[in-house]
Amino acid sequence: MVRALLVVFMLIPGVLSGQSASELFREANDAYARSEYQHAAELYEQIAAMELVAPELFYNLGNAYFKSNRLGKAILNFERAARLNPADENIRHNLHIANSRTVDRIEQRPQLFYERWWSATYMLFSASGWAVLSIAVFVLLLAFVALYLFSRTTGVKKMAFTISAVCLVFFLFSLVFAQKQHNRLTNTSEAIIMVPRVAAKSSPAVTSPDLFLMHEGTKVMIRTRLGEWYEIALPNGNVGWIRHESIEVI
Amino acid sequence: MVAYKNLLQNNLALAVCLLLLIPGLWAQEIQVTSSAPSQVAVGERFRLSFQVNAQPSDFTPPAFSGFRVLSGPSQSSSSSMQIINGQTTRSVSFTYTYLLEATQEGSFTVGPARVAVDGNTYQSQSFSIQVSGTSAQAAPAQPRQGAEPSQASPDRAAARDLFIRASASKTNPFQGEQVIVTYNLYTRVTVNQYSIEKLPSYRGFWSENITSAGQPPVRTEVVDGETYRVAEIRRVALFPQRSGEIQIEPLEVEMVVSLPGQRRRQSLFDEFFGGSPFDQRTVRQTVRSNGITLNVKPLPVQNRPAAFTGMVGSEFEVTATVQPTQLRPNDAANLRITITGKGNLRMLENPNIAFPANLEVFDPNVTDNIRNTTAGITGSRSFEYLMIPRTGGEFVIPPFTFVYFDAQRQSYVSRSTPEFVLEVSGDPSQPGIAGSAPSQEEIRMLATDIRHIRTGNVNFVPAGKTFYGSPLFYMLLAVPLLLFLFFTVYWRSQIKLHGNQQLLRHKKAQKLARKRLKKAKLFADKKQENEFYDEIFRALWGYLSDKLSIPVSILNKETVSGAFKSQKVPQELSDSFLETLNQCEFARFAPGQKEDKMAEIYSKALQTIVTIEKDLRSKKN
Repeated sequence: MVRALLVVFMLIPGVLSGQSASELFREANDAYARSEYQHAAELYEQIAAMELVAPELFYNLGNAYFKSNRLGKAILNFERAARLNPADENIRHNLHIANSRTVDRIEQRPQLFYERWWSATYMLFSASGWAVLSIAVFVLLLAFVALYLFSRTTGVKKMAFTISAVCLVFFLFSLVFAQKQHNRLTNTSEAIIMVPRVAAKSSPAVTSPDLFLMHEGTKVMIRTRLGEWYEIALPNGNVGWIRHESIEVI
Repeated sequence: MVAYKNLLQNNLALAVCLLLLIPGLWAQEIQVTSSAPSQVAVGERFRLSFQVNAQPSDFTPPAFSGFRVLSGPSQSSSSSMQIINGQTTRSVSFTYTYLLEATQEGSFTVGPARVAVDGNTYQSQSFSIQVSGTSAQAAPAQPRQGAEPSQASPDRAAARDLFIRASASKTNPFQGEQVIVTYNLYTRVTVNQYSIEKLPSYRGFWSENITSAGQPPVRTEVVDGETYRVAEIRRVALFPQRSGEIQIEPLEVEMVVSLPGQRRRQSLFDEFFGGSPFDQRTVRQTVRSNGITLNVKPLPVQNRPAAFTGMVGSEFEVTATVQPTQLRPNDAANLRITITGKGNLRMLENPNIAFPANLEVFDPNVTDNIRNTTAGITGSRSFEYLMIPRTGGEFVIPPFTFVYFDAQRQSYVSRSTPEFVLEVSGDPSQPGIAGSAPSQEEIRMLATDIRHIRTGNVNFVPAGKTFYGSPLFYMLLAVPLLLFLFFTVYWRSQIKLHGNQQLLRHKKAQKLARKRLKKAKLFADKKQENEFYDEIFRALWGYLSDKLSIPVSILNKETVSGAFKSQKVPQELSDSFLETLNQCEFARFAPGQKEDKMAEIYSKALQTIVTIEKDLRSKKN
């Protein structure tokens, strides 16, 4: 009980500041509608600076950056929006459009069919979505276990047993998916190139030779961090070092 | 793919369009100029032209009062491009030409011609033309002075002194066979100049002009005892398109001839320069050739191969090459078929080749090397097919058979190419990336843009807070589990308290009965009669009460037999049970051997309970 109260109190600041955030959001939307994309982006950023998040916020922010020709920022925010709401069709569409405008075209390793199915399944809901689903399924599971235990009729018992077995499978999977989405959300190993052009070095030093060139908007995986340098990898397997200011972690 | 092909086809047009679009080309001022002689004689034909230095969209000529329009407007255009020091200048000019004839004497004004260019209208300056009564008074201001006809003297060269003879190389050709028609000018007078005024339409023929360029060579020929100078003025290759009698219309040539005759009043200049020392005059006259009738034979139907497409000629050869023959999927190979020979090569259709499926073949690129020689049309036409195999494996390109009708030998001749095999590496079952070109056109996207922002109410949550893994999440999992466990335990205890006393008693009924029977046996051993019977009664009634869940208070023989019936216990079992009870009651008060009686009743009671228990158990399972 005490813990529940604590949670409610923790949520209150968010609810309170949500008032002004909503106003800012509306103001930013109006600016966007007037084609003042730069201004809209600044207003959206103000909301983000309040440590408040929503998929719509990052989606709109990405749009504002896209319209002001800042591809790197646009892709970054679309990616953030997609993390919060992976199933949203608009977010995916805009991310796709933005990605198609990047200079670098990196061949993605094609996924096997079961990998595609797997990711398509867990991308259906966000971490919270899966969490809610897992609770719902858990309650259902308990109800059917109870029915199994206390029913005198053999038919009802059999049915209750089958349903509770299915519920158990669903519960475990939704937990796994929730964990997976949570990992994605808190994953800090993906980043977007923010500068128009950057060369990946062979070692974390300015004097080391350039390995390959990357352009704004390209998504990279961060492998390690060493001082002001990141070791990054591209989906095609190329690895190199770049300075931290040329990328932004999603 | 379709778009790409279109692009290939249209790239020339595209280049031209781009050139036209280059700004600055149109920067020059648009002018409409006119050119015409300022002085003409009555009856004289002359040219009047308007020139525009841009592409006009509309042209309105003035009214030509005082003149008769013989022909026109005929349009011609020319464009030139200059690159000087890297600067490109381009000029276009469109000319509208009229052929006019002066009909009346006097001075006539030609009004302005209006030209529309890019929506603006431009005008030429109006000018006047002086028409004089006689050509003799006309000042020889024009360059065509020598061609100036002498209207005053209507004389003309006699037909026997000047005629054109048309002759065909064959008068009864086959349909599609090449016929060469030559027009020879026979003359015994001096022809200063000639121009073909009216070409025959050659209806029913495919015609190709094969006149050799330059001045025609002149030879002499004797016709009917008279010596003529003969010049070939035109040569045409004709291909009859149908069978039967076909007329070739006569050719009309306008000539300027010098005739010997009256002295002509000459200007001082002419005399000074010795322009015409001889007593001659020039006349303009039109000469027509004879017409020809060709009797065209149809092609023989007999022995006509199926592959025949209508080509008539001679000495046809077909060659074909494939380059390369070994390739990978989605690489391009080239099939080149060249047909060489004498005949109407321009009418040659694309070869019909049954290419294998999975081999994407584009429409052939046709290149001509066709020469119009005086002997007729000869040369070659090449078809270049671009082939792209979409899978691996072997592709067999079947041989192409070209059939033509040899008019000289009067037979059909076949020429075949060899069969080619394309060896494509890779798996034949594995399709390439691109499938075959779709026959339908896809919806073409004009542009791709991002979708609009989301408006409306948004539920902001603090960053880094996710429901999953939060205390609330675990609590929501734990609360139902605790509730579940609590209820399970509570329920179990309730069952123990209530309903299942019965169940318990049901289960333990036999055990209790046996215990009582044992006790009864002890009493029997001690010969305590009353106690024995009491125990036996208790054992039997108690067993029934427990087993059938009937309280002891309402237990009697009727309820017992009813309960047995509802449990589907066989009648004899129920009877034997009741009998045991009766015997028990009876034996208690009956005289006789009490020990034997007690032992008998004991064993009977035990047996009854065991059998009933067995029966009920078998029913349960």
